[in-house]
Amino acid sequence: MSEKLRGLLHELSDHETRVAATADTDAVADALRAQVRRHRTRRYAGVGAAAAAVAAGVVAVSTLTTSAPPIPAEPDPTPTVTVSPGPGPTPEPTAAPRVPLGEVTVHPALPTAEGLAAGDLEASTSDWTLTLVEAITEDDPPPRVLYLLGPEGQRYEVPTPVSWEGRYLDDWLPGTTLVLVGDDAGAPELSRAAAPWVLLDVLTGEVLTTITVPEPDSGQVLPTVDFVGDGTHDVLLASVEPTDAPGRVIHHARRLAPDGTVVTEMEPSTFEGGFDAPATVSPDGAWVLLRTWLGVEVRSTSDLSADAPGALPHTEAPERCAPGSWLGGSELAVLCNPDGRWDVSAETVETWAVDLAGGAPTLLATGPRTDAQWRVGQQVIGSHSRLEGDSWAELLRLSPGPVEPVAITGFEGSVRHVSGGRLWVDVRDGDDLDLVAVDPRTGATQLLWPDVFASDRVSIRMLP
Amino acid sequence: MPRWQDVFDEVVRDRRPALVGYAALFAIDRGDAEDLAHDAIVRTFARPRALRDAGTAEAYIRSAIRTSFVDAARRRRTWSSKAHLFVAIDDVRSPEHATAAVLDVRAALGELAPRERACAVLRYFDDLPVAEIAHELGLSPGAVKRYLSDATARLRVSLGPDAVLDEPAGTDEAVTLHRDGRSRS
Repeated sequence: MSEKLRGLLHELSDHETRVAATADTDAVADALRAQVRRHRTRRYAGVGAAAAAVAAGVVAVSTLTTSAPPIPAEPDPTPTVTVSPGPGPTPEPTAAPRVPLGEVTVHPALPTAEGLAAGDLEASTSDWTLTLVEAITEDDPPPRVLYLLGPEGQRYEVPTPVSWEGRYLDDWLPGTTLVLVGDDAGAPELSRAAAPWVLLDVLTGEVLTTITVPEPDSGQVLPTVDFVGDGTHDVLLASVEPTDAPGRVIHHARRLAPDGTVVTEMEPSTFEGGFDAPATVSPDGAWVLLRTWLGVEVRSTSDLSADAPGALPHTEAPERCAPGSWLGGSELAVLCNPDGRWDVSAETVETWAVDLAGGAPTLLATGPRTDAQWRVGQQVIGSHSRLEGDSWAELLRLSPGPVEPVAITGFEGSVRHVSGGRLWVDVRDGDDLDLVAVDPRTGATQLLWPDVFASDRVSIRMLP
Repeated sequence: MPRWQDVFDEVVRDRRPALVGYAALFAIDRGDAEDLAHDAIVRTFARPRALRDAGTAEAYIRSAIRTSFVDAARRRRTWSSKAHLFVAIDDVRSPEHATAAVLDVRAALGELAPRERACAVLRYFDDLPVAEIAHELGLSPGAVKRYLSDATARLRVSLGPDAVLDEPAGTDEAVTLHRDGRSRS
């Protein structure tokens, strides 16, 4: 054996360990924590701005106003898992009398809910979202429950034969019973030999297809799979591949039918870019945005080889801009540096709204760079990271009018969902982290789900 | 189960130096090693998953270090722009405080191609057999044997013939070298 080499390697590692131990741990931890939170925000937001350094800022906080009563508090803990018939009928999302498809799981760690009725999933829109909740308990296996959440805070338990052990809910196609389920044990983002996804009917458990990343040896990494959402049940598989040139990656994308056949495939394309969220589909399913650091690269989902039409800002100097978030439909936020080449550390940027379906780009604001953007009614809201203060991010109203903070007491920086003209955000209340819906126009809030994030009782995975 | 923030704090507080030390075997350059380890930490915690304890998280992070290195994910240089945040003691960081052996093995590793280096570290530091190295790095076993063969041949030149001795044949993990450095596994 090669004990000498083994010893030398350990000596080198130990030496570097001692050196690393001399760093300012608090500063490192703060910076890393901010990075993790920013990534989580983007994940929940669906897309984010180009990779950005964390910027400092000041937030103005005003009094929280509440326009709607909170959901009643969770029931007192009971020692065992039981199931019971769901509560009485409610009018949403179907108008007919509700007949629950299954029983509701009752557990001290789980929230109250109603049973899903036939047609609820099919009647749902993008205002609704699915979330998978696992109770933190000594039970083996722990209860894992899928909920359909509505704009007013409705919670319906989705009866499903799907086993969630080692799996996670990756995407759902609103208006259908179709979901994409990933293999959590495989930690796809950590390995090139990515674990497969399955496309299945969540109510019946029927698997329509299994999706794998082609050719693990080809070097494609960080694959993502999402529903296209253009009226079909197709999915988009996207990944990036590193190159020998620093900062340049090769994008791969293919559109798959529900039976797994390839509908169309993008010619591998090389751009300045990174490895997070390689591609995101527009809310109307018509376009796919390729994650780049410089310039904006979009493709029609119907023909991945075609450049998208539509006027972008600064067409004479595309290197001044970088993509932001999808705002809705075919509308994309684009960030540009007014002073030259795009710079992720620029403190003042132009935020544009670009409708890829046509029309001239609209300058929304010239002001702080935001990491993610959302359209809520007539308003465009951005999330602005910062290192100082009680919160690590603030929400800014980018349009209409002058850029100004959206005051939310206890805002923790995560925007989970946009629904019914409101943002669903994390709000700190003492040791609890609640899910709260906020109307950015009025500041009115509604407590949707108390103590659900950072909870010692449940682990939650909410879809964007 | 602890919150992810609790696991994160424990990992960064107690295990970050060792993770940087591990990353240094791959990245060679100290700044790159910090980049590699820090990005692996971020990637591991960025996604909601059941990280029940620091040990589980560390296993994820070490795996991320390995795959990120081989995938050249470090080319983003994310952390280079934040170097000022990480204040270190200069005299401890300076190379002259490292032993000659440390400098030698660092230089020897630096002469290896990235995949050769990754295979060598997983084989001789992590004690993984060829099959597991192949699985970890997304390579075929044959490719791993080829990289290991080339790596050990170079290391024998750099560090001396006794640094990497022949291994017994007949096992999956064995990479037996001829005197010319070619493998016959």
